[in-house]
Amino acid sequence: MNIRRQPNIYLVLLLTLYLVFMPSQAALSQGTAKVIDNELVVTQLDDNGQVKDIKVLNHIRVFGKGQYTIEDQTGFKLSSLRNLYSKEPVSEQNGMIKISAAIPGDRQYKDIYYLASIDKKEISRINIPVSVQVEYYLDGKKVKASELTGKSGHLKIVCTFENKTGEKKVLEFTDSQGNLVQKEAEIYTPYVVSLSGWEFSNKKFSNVQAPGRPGESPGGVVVNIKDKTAVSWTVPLIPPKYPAKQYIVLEADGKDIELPSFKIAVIPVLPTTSEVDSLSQVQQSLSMLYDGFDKIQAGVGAEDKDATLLYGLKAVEQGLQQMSSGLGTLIGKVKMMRFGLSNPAFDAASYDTLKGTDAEGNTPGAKDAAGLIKKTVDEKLIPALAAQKMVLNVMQTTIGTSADQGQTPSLSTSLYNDINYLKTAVAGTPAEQVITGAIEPKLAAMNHNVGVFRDGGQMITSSGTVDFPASVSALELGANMLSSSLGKVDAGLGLMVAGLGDIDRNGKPVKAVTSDGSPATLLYALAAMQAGIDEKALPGIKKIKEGTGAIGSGAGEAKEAIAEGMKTFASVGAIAKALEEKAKAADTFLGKPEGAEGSVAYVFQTPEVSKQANAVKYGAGVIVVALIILFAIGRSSKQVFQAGVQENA
Amino acid sequence: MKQALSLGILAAILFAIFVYFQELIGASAFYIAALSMAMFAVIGPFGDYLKTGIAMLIGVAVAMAGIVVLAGKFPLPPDNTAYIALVSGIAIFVLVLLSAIGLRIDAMFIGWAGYNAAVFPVYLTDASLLAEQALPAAVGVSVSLLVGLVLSLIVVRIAMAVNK
Repeated sequence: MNIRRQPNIYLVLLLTLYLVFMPSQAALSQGTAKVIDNELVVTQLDDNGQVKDIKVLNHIRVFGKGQYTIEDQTGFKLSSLRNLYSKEPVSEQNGMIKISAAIPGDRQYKDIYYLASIDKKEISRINIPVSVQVEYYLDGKKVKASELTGKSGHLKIVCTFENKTGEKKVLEFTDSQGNLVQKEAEIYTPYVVSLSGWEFSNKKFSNVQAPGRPGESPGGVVVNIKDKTAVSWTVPLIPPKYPAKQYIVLEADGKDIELPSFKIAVIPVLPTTSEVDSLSQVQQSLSMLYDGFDKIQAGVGAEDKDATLLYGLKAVEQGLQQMSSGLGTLIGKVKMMRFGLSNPAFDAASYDTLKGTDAEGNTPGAKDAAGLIKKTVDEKLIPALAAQKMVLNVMQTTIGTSADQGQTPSLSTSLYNDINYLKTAVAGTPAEQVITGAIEPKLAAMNHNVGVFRDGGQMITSSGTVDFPASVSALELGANMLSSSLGKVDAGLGLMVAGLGDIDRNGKPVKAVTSDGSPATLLYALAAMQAGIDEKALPGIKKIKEGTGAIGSGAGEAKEAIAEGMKTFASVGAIAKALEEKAKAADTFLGKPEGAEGSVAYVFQTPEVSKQANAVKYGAGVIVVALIILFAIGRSSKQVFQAGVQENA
Repeated sequence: MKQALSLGILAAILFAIFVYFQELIGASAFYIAALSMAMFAVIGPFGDYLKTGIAMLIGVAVAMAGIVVLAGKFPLPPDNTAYIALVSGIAIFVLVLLSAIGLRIDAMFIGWAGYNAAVFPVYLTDASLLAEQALPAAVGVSVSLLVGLVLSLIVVRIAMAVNK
C-alpha cells in the first residue's frame, strides 16, 4: 500500500541486484550464515519536481539454518514499517529495525521484504547521492505538472541529474617512467541514470523527440510502437569520462495532455576495465606526441638561446634594424651629396660673388658653381679675350710694317710709316743710323711680339727668341674649352642630381618611379628600402617572432597538457579502482545489518498528470444524482406493494 | 410489439450513452451496470430501488474496506491467500449481519462482488496501485451499479406506463 506504483518493477530491480551480487554471496554463505541487504529507494517527486516522499523497499536474504534475528540499522526516522510478503514481525526501536524469523529446514535461505517509509520531517536533511530535478514547459512557459492536465501545446520535459558524491582523494599510481606519483582527484561514486519505458500515447502526442547535446545531454531512443511512443535514455554520471551533471530533454506536441508517472532509476555501477586495457597504445602515441612537441619547443627556443629559431629571428631583426639605421645614415649622406651637387633653393641670378651666396643666403652646389663658372667664362672671359685680340690687332696695325712709307705722319698712319718718313727726313744723319739700327728692329720685334702675344709663337727678346704659349688666342681657346668642359660637367652633375633625386621641402625624397613601378632615384630607392625594412620587414619579423613564440609556448603548453594527460592516463587505473571502491561502498541508503553485503538502487517517480481526479469528482456527482433519482422515483409505494401482496394472497 | 421495440431502443440508447461517457465519470467497469440492470427482475416494478442502491453502496464500501485491510495490513500475495479467505469471510459475515437491519443482501453482494471484480486483479498483481485506485474504483463501481439501477428503474417505469 505504501509504494505508489508497480512494486513488481521494483522487485525485478531488486532481483537483478541480487543476481549481480549472488556469486560473491554464494561463496561467503558456505558454513556461515550470511546476510544480503538489497535496498530500493523509491522517491516520489511532487508537483514542483521536489522530493515529496521517500520509501525504502528492503530485501533481506539470510543464509543459514534455524531461528535468527536480524538487526538492521536505519539512519533515518521512519513513519511506518511493514513486512510485505511474510508474517514475521518487523519492528523499529532506537534506529534499529529488528526482524525475527526462521529458515525452514528445506531451504538454505529466507527472504524478508519490508517497506520503510521515511518520516517527512527527515526529507530535508537527506542527501540523495544523485539529485533529480524535473521541469515541465508548455509552449515554452514553465508550468507545474498538474497544470498540464487536459492542456494542448508543445510539451517539453527537462530532467536534470547531478552526481553529488564527488570528494577529493589522493591517488597513488606509477607513471609511464615508472615513478610513483601522487595526484589529487575528485572521485565520484559511479552512477547511471536509466529512464526507460517513458510511454506517450500516440492519440495525445505527436512529434515525440528526445534531442541530445554532446557533453551535456544524451539523446534518447524513441521507438514508435502502434499506439504508443516509448522513449528511453541512459545517462552515465561517471566523471571524469562523463560529466557529473547532465540533463535530458523530451519534446512533443500534446493534445489533451495526460502523463503517467515516469520512473527514473539511479543505479551505482562498477566501472568497466576495457578502456583501461587499451590505454597502453594511447600512452605510447601520447609519448611520441610529447617528444614531437618537445622538439618543436626546443627548435623554437628563446631569443637568448643560441641555435634556435627565436635566436635567429632576433639576429635577423637586429640586422634589419642595422640596415634601416645604415640606410638612414646613407640617405642623410646622399642628401648631403645631393645638396652639395645642387642646392634646390639656390638662385643663380641673385648670386653675389663677394658673399658667395644668393640673395637668400643659399650657397651653390657643385652643379650650381659649375654653371656660374661657365656663365662667367662664356659671358666674361671669352669676350674679354676676344677684345684683347682685337686690341692686339689694333696695336699691330698701329705699328705697321716696314713697307709702310710715303704718307705724311698723322694719327691714322702707322709707326713704320712715320719712322720711314723720319728716316727719309734725316737721311744721312746719325739719326738715320739710330732709326735703322735701333728703332726699326725694335718696331719689327714689337710687331712680331704683339702677333705672338695674340696668336702664340717665338717671342723675340734681347737675348734671343723664346716660346710664348700663353697667347691670347691660346687663352681664348682654353676659355672655350673650359666653357665646353664646364658644360659637360654641368650636364654630368645634372645627371648625378637626377640620379640622386629631388628632395621636398620637408627634406624627404620626392617619389619618383619608373614605368614598371620601381624607384627611379637613388634617394627614393634608399627611402623606399628603409621604409620597406621599417614598415614591412621589421614588423613582419616581429610578427614572425611573436608567432614563433606562440608556437613555442603552445608547444610547451601542449607538452604540459600531454604530460598531464599522460599522468591522467597513468592514473586511470587508480581512478577506476577508486571508482570501484566507491561503487562498492555505495551499498546502502537506510542502513544495513552489520557484516551484511548490501546494494542500493534509487527510483524517482514523477507525479501522474491525469484527469482521474475529475472523473472521480464527476462520478461522485453521478452517484448523488442517481441517489436523488432513486429517492424521487425509486422508493417503494407501500400501499401499492401491500395491495399487490394482498391481491397475490 | 412496437412499444417493446421502442422501449428496447430507448434502453439501448441510454446504456450506450453511459458506456460512451464512462471514462468521464470514472465508471471503467461499465458491464457491472448490466448486472444491476438485471436487478429490476428481482426488485419488481414496485420494489424499493433506493434501498437497493444504498445496499449496493454498502456492499462496495465493505469490499473496499476489506481490500484496504488486505493490502495495508496483511502480507501480500501470492503466498498469503489465507488472509484473503479470512477477510472475505468476515466481509460476507458483516453483509449478512447488515441484511438483518433491512438492507437487501443480494444488492450488497452485487456491490461487494462488483468492487472485488474491479480491484482484486490489481491486488493480486500490484497491491501498491490500490493506494491510488481503491477510491476511484469504488466510485467507478458505484456509478456503474447506480446508473444500471436507475436505467432499470426507468425501463420499468416506462414499461409500466406503456402497459397501462
